[in-house]
Amino acid sequence: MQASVVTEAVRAKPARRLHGWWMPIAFLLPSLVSFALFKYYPLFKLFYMSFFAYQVASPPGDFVGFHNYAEFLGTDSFMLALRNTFVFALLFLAMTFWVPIVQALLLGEIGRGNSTFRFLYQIPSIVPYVVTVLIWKWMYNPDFGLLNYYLGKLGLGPYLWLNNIHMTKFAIVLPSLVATQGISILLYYSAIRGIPQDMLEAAKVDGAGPWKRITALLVPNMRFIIFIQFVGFMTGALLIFDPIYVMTQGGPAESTTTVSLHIYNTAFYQYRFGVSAAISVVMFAITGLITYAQLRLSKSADG
Amino acid sequence: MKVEKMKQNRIRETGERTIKLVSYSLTILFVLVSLIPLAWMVSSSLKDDKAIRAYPPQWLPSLPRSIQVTLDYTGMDEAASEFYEKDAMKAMWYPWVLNKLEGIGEVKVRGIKDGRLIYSARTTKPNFLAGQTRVVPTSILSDRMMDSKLPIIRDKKLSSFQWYGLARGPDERPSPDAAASAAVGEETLSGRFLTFYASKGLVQGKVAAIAETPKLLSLFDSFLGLNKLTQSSSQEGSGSGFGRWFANSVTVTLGSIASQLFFGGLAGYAISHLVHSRRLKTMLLMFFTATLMISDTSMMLPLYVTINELHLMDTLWGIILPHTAWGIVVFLFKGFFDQLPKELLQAAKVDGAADFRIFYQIAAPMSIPIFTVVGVMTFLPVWNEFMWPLVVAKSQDNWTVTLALNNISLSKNASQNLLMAGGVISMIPLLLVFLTSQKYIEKGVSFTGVKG
Repeated sequence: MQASVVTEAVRAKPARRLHGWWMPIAFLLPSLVSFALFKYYPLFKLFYMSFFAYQVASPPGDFVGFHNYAEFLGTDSFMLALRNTFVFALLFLAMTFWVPIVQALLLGEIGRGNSTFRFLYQIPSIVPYVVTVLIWKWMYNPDFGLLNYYLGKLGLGPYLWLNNIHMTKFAIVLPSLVATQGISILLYYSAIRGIPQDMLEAAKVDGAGPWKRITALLVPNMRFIIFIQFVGFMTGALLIFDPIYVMTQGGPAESTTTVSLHIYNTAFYQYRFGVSAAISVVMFAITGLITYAQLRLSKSADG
Repeated sequence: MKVEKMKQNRIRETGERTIKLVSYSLTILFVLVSLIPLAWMVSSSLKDDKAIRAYPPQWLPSLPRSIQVTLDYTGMDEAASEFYEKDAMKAMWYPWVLNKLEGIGEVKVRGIKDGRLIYSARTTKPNFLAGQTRVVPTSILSDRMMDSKLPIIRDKKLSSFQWYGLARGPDERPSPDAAASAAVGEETLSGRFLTFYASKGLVQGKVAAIAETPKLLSLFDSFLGLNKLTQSSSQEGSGSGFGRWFANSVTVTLGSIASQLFFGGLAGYAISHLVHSRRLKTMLLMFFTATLMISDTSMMLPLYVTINELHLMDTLWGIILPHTAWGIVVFLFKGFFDQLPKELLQAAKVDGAADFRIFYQIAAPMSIPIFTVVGVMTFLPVWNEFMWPLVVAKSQDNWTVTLALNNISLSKNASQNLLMAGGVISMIPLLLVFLTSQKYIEKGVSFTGVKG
């Protein structure tokens, strides 16, 4: 829109005048302002807030130094949240990370109907994650739920999926097993497609069986993309918020409260903004390091 | 022919058939398992309140019924239309609330007097559900009650009432065996209605006929009534319903995409072609992409405070604007513009074209693929976003679809069929995007995948 208005103006005036040292600045200004305002200023604010008993109504409140950090670091609830976070991350890793890799490898063996399957795989990712979680919450319903009924037929259960502290974590991760990784399948599949066909044929001639081909040829060629996905996956898993908030809101007995939820609750239920900011700083450090490693690695691989 | 030739050229391997078989069956299994929850959502969205709580769970929704009642006022004193209207409302709302869990799609009542049709009235299920808590909150029913409820029904247009007048209505003779034709008993719905009319004495007209027919369209009542029902259950009387929330989501998503394309396109182009110092280029790129390391969760609180300081709290702008600062967008644009032929842009410059004009008339049209990829790739996360709207949108007027669905699910008398209908609607825009641009998504995957 704006660009077209400017173009009209250009036609009317001599064009020369719009070349200038300030042209790049005009192009960059919207983004510079937006990034400064919505990334760098809040980042500064985050550290700043973490040193105050922050009051939203009359900022910044009293300066308390590192007291906010000292306040949460030793507490049981934070340690529990930290533990939950890593348990969740490991559960996600064990239960869901390998799924799209296997699915892509299987797709690699499929000729006819390949694009149909690829499309079908995408459909569960088309549903908003929150909606997927709500469907599963409905299937978990102890009284009318689909899962308890069919498991009951197999002689299992009934389970109190979201009310049993030993099951809730599992129940929260389970939907992701089938629902959210359509894009990853495409990614892995395109990596497999990237392997030259004659290499595969040659391996066949040399008598490499399917298992051998996967371990010796396909996976090594996918290694890089798997690694990059792994780093992104772990960052996501460590920050997991939506499914927990929707399914259990951290309960029962804080058994599903992760650091993300802890940050949210501390800020928006207890209004202890300073403490919440201090926890956020710790979380920022952890995930920042992971993402930094990811960027470095992808850069070194690019060339 | 051609296929066969290719097959001959390929090297066949022992057990190839087994591998194929295993691959196909496992893939089909994966697909089926992942589609079951979706099928359950669609099936649930078509169910009535009874079927939704059926145990064992039933996959196929039962067909809703339409009940048609004819009331005969022959032999009674003439009265004002209001009397008949009240009678019709009682005849529809009272027996319905006693059978509210049954699959009733609509109730129609026709009044006749001396062989003439004097009125016809109709209540549909979405309207019944929307008005139930106010019109017939309990199953304790009385003649008086309707006096105070009639204004509510009229005001909210919950039931239609067509008055023909005592003298002018079209001829209508009750068929002699009509009353007998309805199976009397507790098994059928019409039987239950008939028992109600006969025993309670709340309805003045005599039942001349009652009929029960399946009504296919009522399967979609959860969809048709979604807006009205969510509106009626919204607390502060803000009157915003699902339609509003859907529009909010559309606004937020399209607003974010548009601003990203504009902001990111300009910045990416500038870094790629307008800034000549190599050092400055690197610094700018670092400025933008370093933000990729900041996770959304750790930004939640400070961004909340920032939005608060900007007085954008509880506005759609507050949801949209932070999306203008996505490092990955600038990165993608810069990478794409780098590949544009420099000579072409240089030539345009020599010809005296201004930078904006080169961007707008030469660079942008050549970059439609990247604009599409960025647009599509933004659509998914922004449409699905939950945490940020949760923090920003305090009032119902500014809810997005995901936030609204979560809040509906948390309300005390959440009806799952309604929730699932909302879920089905929420996936439609994404489905459209996927169907029209799967190609671009696969392309976007290869662009962005490596960068996470």
